[in-house]
Amino acid sequence: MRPKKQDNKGQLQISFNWIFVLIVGAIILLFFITSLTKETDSSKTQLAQKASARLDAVFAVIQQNPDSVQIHDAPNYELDFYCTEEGHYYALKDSSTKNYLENEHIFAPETIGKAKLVSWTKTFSAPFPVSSILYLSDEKNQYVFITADPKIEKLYEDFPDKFSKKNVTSSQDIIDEGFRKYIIITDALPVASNINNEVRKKTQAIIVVSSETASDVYGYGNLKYYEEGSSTSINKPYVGQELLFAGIVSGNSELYSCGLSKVLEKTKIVAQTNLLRTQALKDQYDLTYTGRCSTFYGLVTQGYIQNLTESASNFETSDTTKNYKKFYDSMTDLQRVNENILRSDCTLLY
Amino acid sequence: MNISKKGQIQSGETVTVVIILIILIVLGIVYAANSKIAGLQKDNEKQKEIDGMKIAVLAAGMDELKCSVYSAKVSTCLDLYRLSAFSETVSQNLYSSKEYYFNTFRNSKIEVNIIVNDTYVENIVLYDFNNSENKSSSPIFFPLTVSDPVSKINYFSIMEVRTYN
Repeated sequence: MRPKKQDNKGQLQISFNWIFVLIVGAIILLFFITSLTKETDSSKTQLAQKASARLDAVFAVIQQNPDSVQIHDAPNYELDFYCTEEGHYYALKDSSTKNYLENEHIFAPETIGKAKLVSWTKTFSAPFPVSSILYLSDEKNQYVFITADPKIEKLYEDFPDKFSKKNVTSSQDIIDEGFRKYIIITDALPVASNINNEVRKKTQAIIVVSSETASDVYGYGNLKYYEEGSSTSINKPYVGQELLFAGIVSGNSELYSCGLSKVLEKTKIVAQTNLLRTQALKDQYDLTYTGRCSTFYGLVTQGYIQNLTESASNFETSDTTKNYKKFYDSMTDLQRVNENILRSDCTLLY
Repeated sequence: MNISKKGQIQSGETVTVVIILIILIVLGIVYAANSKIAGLQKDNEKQKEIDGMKIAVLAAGMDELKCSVYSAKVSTCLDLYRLSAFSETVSQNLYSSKEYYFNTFRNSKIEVNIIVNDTYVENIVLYDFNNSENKSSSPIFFPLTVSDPVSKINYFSIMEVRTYN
């Protein structure tokens, strides 16, 4: 029989070993749990980063191939585009990581992904080159043109075939072909009951193109957005082919407006650069050459570019004058002067 | 008494093992952290170089700096008058141009050096912004052609880009 004191010490030692094992075990367990949680978080972030890197690569490739239409492999995720007070950004579906599109002039519908992406680039000029515009969509968004009007038919013909597009003569002919969303382009609002129920549910917007230039749909005008079955429209102006297609591809008044304001901001900066350049050209020609060229440059520096900049600042507001019309007129004036400059063998504006 | 000493020795052994274990873990963490920091520093240098190249390609490809359509058909041609006008617009931050281009060029300095007979004859600073404490990276050099649209002379030029990120 062991003495009682000795027995207690043995018990104390056994308990100490157990406590030690428990503590070390808990630490090891905690380490693995933390690692696993971090790994899950990081894999989500990695996917968002991969998506962002992939789009960046698409943007980079596109910039090297202006005025081209390309099809890209289907990503295995969906991207949502947003235009909020925070800015213009896209995010992976159900992800909180936002990728801000600060200087990128991208026009895309609300959702793309899990289908082949289609990109189209065009250079926006006012009339001097301002920036490359990227139109981005996928094969699951269908653009339906109601081509009863020749202007809409022209839009249908000029819209690249690589996008999912369709022309119908009447709204009754639109049928659901399993697309994610439909964007309907027309010259007059169709009667809602004429549109197939399934199509109506999946319609992102009906865009009524209201061109104000008689002969040319690409002059200037308004895009009236009837979004998600609403009977009231949101009007957004456009000038030229690039902005008109920007409004169509977005299929959403806010997304179009977000991209538009960035394009116009850039236009103002480029216009200012061109104003200073033209002033420098005028000074140079005043010193060394005949006054004929200086007269042209004088027209540009004394009004045309300022008009363009002012109208770009108030593009979406229409008070007594339509600023988008003023913008178009300034562009036309600058184009005409540049043609005269070309004929007179002076240094071109652009 | 003997049994008590034995117990004390055994407890002492356990404590020693725990201490050694802790020291080994700490050493391991320190070693791993040092390796990681060295790797990050290397990656950072590489990233700076990539950033510099990206900025140079972006700047050289800007539509607002390119030669007129009817001008010289050379691959990377920038208009001398546009370069000067751009430099003035951005340095004076007209129409918030500095903020606008910060989104693209971040903390960096972009300049174009025009070279005649192996000598720099003109230096145009297109963009210069640094709100960080970081030192600049090694410069990235990018060759291009600068065209004077009035005299119609083309100059060999070098774009120099430094990043501060």
